[in-house]
Amino acid sequence: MDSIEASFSNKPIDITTLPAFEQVVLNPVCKKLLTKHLLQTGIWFLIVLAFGVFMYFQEEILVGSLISGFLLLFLIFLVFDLIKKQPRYGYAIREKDLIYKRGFLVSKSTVVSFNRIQHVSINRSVLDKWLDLSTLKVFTAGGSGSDMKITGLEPKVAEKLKEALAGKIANEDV
Amino acid sequence: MSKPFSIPQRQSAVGILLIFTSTLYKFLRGFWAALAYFVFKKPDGEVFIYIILAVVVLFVLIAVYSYFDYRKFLFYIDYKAEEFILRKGVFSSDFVSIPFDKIQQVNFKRGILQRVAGVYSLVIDTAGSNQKEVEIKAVNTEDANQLADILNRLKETNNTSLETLDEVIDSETKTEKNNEEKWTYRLSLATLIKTGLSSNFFRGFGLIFVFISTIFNELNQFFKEETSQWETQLTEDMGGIATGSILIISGFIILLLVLSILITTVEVFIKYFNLNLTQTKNSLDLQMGLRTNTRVSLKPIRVQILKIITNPIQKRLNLYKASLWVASSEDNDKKSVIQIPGLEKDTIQNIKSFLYQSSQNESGTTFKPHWVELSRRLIIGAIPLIATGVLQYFINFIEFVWWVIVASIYLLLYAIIQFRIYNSLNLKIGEEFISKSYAAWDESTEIIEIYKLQGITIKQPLWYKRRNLVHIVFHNAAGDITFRAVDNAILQKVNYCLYAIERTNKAWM
Repeated sequence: MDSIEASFSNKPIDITTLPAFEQVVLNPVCKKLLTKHLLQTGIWFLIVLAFGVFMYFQEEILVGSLISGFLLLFLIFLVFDLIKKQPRYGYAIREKDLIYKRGFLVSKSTVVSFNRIQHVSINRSVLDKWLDLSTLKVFTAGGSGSDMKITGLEPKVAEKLKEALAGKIANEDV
Repeated sequence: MSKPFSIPQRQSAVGILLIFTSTLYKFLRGFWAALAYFVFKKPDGEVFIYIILAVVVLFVLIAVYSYFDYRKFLFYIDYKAEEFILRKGVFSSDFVSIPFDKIQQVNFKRGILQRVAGVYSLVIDTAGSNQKEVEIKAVNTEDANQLADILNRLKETNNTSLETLDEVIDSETKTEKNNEEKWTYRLSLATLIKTGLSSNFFRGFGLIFVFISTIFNELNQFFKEETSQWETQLTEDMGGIATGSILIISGFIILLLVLSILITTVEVFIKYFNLNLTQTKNSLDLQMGLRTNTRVSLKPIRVQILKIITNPIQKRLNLYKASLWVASSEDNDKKSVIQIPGLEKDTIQNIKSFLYQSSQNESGTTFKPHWVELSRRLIIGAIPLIATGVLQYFINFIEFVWWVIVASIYLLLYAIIQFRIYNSLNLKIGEEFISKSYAAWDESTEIIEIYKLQGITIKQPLWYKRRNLVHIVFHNAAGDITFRAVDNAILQKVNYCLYAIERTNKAWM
């Protein structure tokens, strides 16, 4: 703590000249991510369909069709949301932090400084393997709020990002 | 010869057995209900054979899975990148890398099985987040010692911020007395009782509610037949009361109120009796509780959020409560808030100046939420009103007059509280601090140092775009601070915060 006080300086800074995170050009993720998301929702479509058929044979047609109708509407909305938000995924590495933006109805941008990242991992689910995608997870001490999960990266890109981040973390940290 | 552990390697072969048992255990835990069912049902001939068959198949499958899990589980040290690396996963594949300087601790653990097999489980702790630890289930003694040695050495040569942490822990346990005292605050009996009486007694009310419903449940369990009679009797009585005298109801409410206050006071008394707060040279020592059941010693660096709470009555009595939030891993968040009630304004100032090394209330830019936030809050509050109104219209569950009375009281109280919250909500961003204040009944201020932020998230719903409004979330190791519906202009301040986080290399914990 003492050394900090010794090297302390406090010049005024002009806040308007600080780099603005919201103007950074973001890198898009793979288009195949949409396929992955649609496949995931597709499974739910099948389940709802099965439920509908089941209710039909149980002669509970009214209740069955009401419930599955609602569920179908919800799923259709989900698909719409998935399609709309696909182009909105974006990430960028700056000199000192990582930016990740996602979401259509509610767009979220999270910024995490390299000196706050705990560790980075790459995760591939079965679907990821089929579609040749990777998920990069960035962990901070801020819990689920500031942990990032960048989905739909090409494995090579994910690997590169991880290396880059690992390097940055090591350099940045005291 | 290459450095030890630089080549990817598997754990000890006994690991298969350990993976097998732990997977089996997980299965059993998941399906214990089904299992119990079969045991009690005592299935006959054919079904029994099928079940046995299924169990055998399950065993074989788990065994095969364990083998592959073992094969896929690889760990090594990447000396060049200065990382410990772990690869695992049968169906999915996980790739975890931990930089040396993020390793907090390397621990040995040993269950019964491990003891029998003569192996250790090696646990690598990293700071903070949910995937906080890496466990290698079976490492033989020699390897375990070597690996722990290497990792400990590497993290030490690599890391200075960690030493401060170790020091924190050490000094917390060791040197408590030999530090000189700067000031001491003792909570007197009178203040304690005042605190209890003026506390928010919704909690006491909640406790009563839980108590009554538990007892009712228990009674239900024991006298199933009788209670049905009871209930009809009770509902008849209640019905009589409801339509009958208001006097009894108000008497009942007053009784509840008195009980709530009493219980709250007793709770405060037990929890905070003999509270004693002392500042020594570099820590804040706290003792409290009827049998001194809380004893904490805190270094300023560990406190992530400071929350100061009071209410209109307590303000008049010069009573404040300080909550100190320390960094938590998500699973044990109960212990991570330290509450100190019954403090005077001066003591609060003392705490502040100790934590932040400066006592002045810093100036800064203040942000207020847009009025759409108020309308959002009012709309949410109107939902139950509309729902019960519709119900009332269709099934007439209570007399209409009663509904109107209850609804209008609710509406009035709710609207007053929401207006108060909205008016008091503000976010101040200064050079070193962010503080958020709001008041419902309790008036709270949350203070956080900018360099202790972990990250910032900006959210913008589609329908806020035209108004240029955003929600902002400040992530911190002890929790998030959210501020809704604030003007876009705050982004400039966000950039300042990022700058402030990134330029410093002060350890945040």
